[in-house]
Amino acid sequence: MSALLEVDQLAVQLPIGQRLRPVLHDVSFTLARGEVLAVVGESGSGKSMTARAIVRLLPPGAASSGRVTFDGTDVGSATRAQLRELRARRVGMIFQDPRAAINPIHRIGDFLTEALVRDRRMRKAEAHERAVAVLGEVGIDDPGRRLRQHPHELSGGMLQRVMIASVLLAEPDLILADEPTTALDVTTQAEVVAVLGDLRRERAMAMVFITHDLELAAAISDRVAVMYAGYLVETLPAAQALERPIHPYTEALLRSRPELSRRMAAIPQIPGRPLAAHEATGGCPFQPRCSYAIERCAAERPEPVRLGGESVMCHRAQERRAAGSAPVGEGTLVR
Amino acid sequence: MTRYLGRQLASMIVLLLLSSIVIYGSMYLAPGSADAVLFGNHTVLPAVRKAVDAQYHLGRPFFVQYWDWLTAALHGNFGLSIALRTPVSQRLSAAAPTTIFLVVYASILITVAGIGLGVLSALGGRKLDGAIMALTNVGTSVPTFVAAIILIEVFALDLHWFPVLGAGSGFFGRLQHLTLPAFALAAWAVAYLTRVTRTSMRDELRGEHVATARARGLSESVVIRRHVFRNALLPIVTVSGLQVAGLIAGTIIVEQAFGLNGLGQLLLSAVEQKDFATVQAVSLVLVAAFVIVNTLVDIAYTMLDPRIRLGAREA
Ligand SMILES: Nc1ncnc2c1ncn2[C@@H]1O[C@H](COP(=O)(O)OP(=O)(O)OP(=O)(O)O)[C@@H](O)[C@H]1O
Ligand SMILES: [Mg+2]
Repeated sequence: MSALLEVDQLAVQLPIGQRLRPVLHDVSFTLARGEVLAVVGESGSGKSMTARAIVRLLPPGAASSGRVTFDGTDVGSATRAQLRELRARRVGMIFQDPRAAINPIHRIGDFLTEALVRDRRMRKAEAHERAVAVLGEVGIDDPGRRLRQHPHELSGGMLQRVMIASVLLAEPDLILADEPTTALDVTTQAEVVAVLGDLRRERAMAMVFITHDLELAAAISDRVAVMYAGYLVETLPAAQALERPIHPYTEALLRSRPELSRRMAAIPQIPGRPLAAHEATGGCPFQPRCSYAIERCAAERPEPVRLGGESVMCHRAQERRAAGSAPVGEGTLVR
Repeated sequence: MTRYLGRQLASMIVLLLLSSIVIYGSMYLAPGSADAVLFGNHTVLPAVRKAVDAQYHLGRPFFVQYWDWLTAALHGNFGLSIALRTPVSQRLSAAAPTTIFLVVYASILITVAGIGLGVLSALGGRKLDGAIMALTNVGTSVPTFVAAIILIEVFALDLHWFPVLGAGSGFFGRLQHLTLPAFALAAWAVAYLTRVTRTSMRDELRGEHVATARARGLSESVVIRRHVFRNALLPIVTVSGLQVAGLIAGTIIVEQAFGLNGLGQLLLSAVEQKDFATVQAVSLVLVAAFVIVNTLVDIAYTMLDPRIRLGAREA
């Protein structure tokens, strides 16, 4: 079966100041139907940009190259109408801050039904019925009353459920969730993740789930993609993400996460400062902060290498994998 | 909502009462009081004096006088014009149509042109935006009386498209006569509202809820109407209202420049003639119009923004 989503050598440049600066470099990955890919990485590493580029929702003045293929259709050459169709029915997007993402002026009911009524020409009563049903599914009590309320009358967690409901109403094949819980408090976070995960699974929708939290990423996804300075540095099965990541950056992420089981004096930080994508030089973007860097790392940018089920962008990938418990796989260039 | 409207109405009435007291009181206290204007240095017979006092509500405690004046005014009776010996209400009703026509005409110009140009500027390309912004630069730097002189010079004296003076009669006569005055009156406000509209639209365009609307595949026209313009409307309505209310003062200048016998002109000549009954009446009408427009804007604003409605309910 062909992949639902294929992202191939995606690069994006944005106008920053007077010049176009790269924010994404040669990002490649695929997603099967119903599969969940978690994308992790520090702030500014290009996670949001990757998600937006999938539906061509880039800031004005952006330039991009490479190929995004959704269900066999090239998104880059889609017409305006095809693009709207793609966004309306095939790919749903959930944003980080529901308070900013949902128009404060309109009622919750209008927000949920506007796409159905205006674009799909559904009768208002039917759209309303569906909205009530889906609000119930995402765990909102008294949906009829909520539909008449305005966003400021709902809590952040409830609003994010509304956002999820709006995506479910569109019945897409793919959900792009861009840090959907970062703006919520900790207890609500878990509930919202659970609601999203369950309802997605029931409907067999694929998902790209963006988060800062490697542990959450591993828990919710089938595979984890790690981004650094606009590069996709490692893609690995979720089960391995917390066990034996190969890329030094992923390992560093793993070590810097706060552990509840172990009491620590201080959370170890990754030394150095995260690099903005446009600051990357000729070598490996992580080399200045990498404790395993060798001479070659500064001089030559590594190509992604496929090792078993993984893809790693590191000169020492094979060596590092061999050092782990797994048998050494045949290293091949992805492209 | 009803409670909110009630409160707005109550505060409007209080404001109107207060301003009417100020208007009446300032005439009462002003040097060159009614006595002086009416009698000058003549000595008057007590009988005449009494008759005049009754006519102009003089010679009794301030608030009694004020109350008589106000209740009469509310019945459309503003007393006799001291200068012309005709009822003030006659002078008012002769002057009002011109001013009302002028203000309504200018208000339509302001809202249609100001909002229209602002939207074009925000959504249009760089060139269109640049051109409109250049226009608004001119518009906001030319004072109303200069605009009036330029318009008369170009469109009345050189091109003969419009008459120079007079208010015209009948709808089309007025339309023709009052076009230049309305443009002069509206020019500054159009330019200003254009800028406000543009800024507000641009701010909303950057908003994340607009990205959401686009990400949901809504058509661009729905995105612009429902998620950009509708949200941008809040500051636009406030500023439009202030500008329209400001026109009420602006008419004084424009009526002067174009020789129109409107309320502004009436006010000026009444002041010159020390015709205090007329000054009071015109002031009262102008201030009332101002207060009412402001109240309407407040109400419109509240209807547009659900977040304010809640605040009102909680208060
Ligand atoms: N509208 C924009 N204009 C210019 N540069 C932008 C814009 N949006 C993002 N960038 C830049 O693009 C790069 C990638 O941003 P992106 O939002 O994808 O990061 P991210 O990984 O999602 O970060 P975060 O975790 O903070 O959300 C960053 O360097 C950022 O500064
Ligand atoms: Mg982001």
